Amino acid sequence: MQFANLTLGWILSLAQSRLGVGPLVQSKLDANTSPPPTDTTAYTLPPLDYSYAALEPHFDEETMRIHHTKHHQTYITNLNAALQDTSFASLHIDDLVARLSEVPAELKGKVRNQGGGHANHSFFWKNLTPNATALAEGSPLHKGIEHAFGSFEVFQQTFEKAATSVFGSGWAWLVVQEDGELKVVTTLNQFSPLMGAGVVGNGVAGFPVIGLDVWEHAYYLKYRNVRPEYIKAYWHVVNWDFASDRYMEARSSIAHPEL
Amino acid sequence: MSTSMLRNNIALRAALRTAAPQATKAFSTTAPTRALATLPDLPYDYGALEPAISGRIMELHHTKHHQTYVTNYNTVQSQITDALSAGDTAAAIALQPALTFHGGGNLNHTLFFENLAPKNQGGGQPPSGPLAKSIETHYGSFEKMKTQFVAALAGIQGSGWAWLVQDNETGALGIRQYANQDPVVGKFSPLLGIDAWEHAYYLQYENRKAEYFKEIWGVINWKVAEARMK
Repeated sequence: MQFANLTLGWILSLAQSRLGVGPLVQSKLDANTSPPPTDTTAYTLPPLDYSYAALEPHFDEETMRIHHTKHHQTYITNLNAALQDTSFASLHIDDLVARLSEVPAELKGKVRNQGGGHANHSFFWKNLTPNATALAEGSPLHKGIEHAFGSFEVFQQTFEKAATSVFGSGWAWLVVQEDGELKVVTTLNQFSPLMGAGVVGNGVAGFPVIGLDVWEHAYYLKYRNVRPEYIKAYWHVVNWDFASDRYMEARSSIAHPEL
Repeated sequence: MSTSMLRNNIALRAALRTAAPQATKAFSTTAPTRALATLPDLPYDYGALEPAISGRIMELHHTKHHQTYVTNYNTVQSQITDALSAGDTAAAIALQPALTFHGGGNLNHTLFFENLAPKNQGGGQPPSGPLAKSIETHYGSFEKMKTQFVAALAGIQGSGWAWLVQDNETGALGIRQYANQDPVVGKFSPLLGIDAWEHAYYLQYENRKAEYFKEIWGVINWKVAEARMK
């Protein structure tokens, strides 16, 4: 129980710090040309940093468009409807999903599903880029991956295996756990590692560094039933700059990292 | 893809039938024999359920998704048999999620394709016999049952199925949601299932699953559902 509280507290502090993010992430946000959201009483669909066609041929334009404007939007619409008589929508979405225990019981399921969907997809769009470059060897994240998995190749194989073996709808993640270690985990449906150990268990809770949507809507139009091909394509569009920022953000919140 | 191309795959399906693995018997007296599952044929052409479900979806759903469940179910059977033969209880139990998923996937899709029919084979015609009476008893009317069934489908989070089931003890009807490929076993028996996985409708309906949940009633085979009643 105490470990669960520690994990949740750590995730909460990370989530809350996103509202006043560290210098690395702030410089990225400053470079973002999209205007900040003006409506603080309801969640809104964040724009992509690239066009729907920009991730071709790996992620097709039609899927990106439907995924963003239909699926992600629906999570937001449903979440706002569920929260309309509360003030929870004033929270950053990562904060909300980390604080599910505070949501009234009759709303918890809806907020978990729809809020998780909004948080996961908001993260996902940032996690992708049309200008993907390899993660630099010698970078802190690369070193962290080597430390946790032995090699970058073994990490990729581990991630691919996890993403392939999700039975049904869900996500595959690389997360930073409370002790600072990287781990590949999976969640079902719209559960997020940010929800904390009380919701997803000690083994899954953590701060996402990269994540891959393996719901069929994420790949079916182009890849049909061949999920492994979609997973392989993902490596071509991973935003390792964003992932590195996430890693540094998580690590900076840990008092005594092992590395 | 034109429907004539789809109709011509009867020859292909016949070829697939003859190429399908036959059930084998183990020669050892201690190892249990097991029957290899094979992909059951559809009793109608891939394009026959249009416009409710496109021929493209039916072909992928049958030859790719269902076939994969069959193939993987056979693999899991083999692994569990080996584990049990070796007395490795832990290994056999560790395979349970895979058995549920692939075995359930095979069961569910077999039942599903059987409880669909083209309009010219009775698809969409409401039940008239004992099932109709039971539906009226439990739901008030056929339309009220449909409304609840659609609500159950719409409420599924992630991947899953909704089933009209019969309570094995009381005979009462129920509508239940099952996650992923969890099959209808135990307390309930399956009468009619509708696949709510995205692959069941995405190529045609995209995210508009409410439309799919509305249109599929036009190709439901209520005769098959009634024959499943106890």
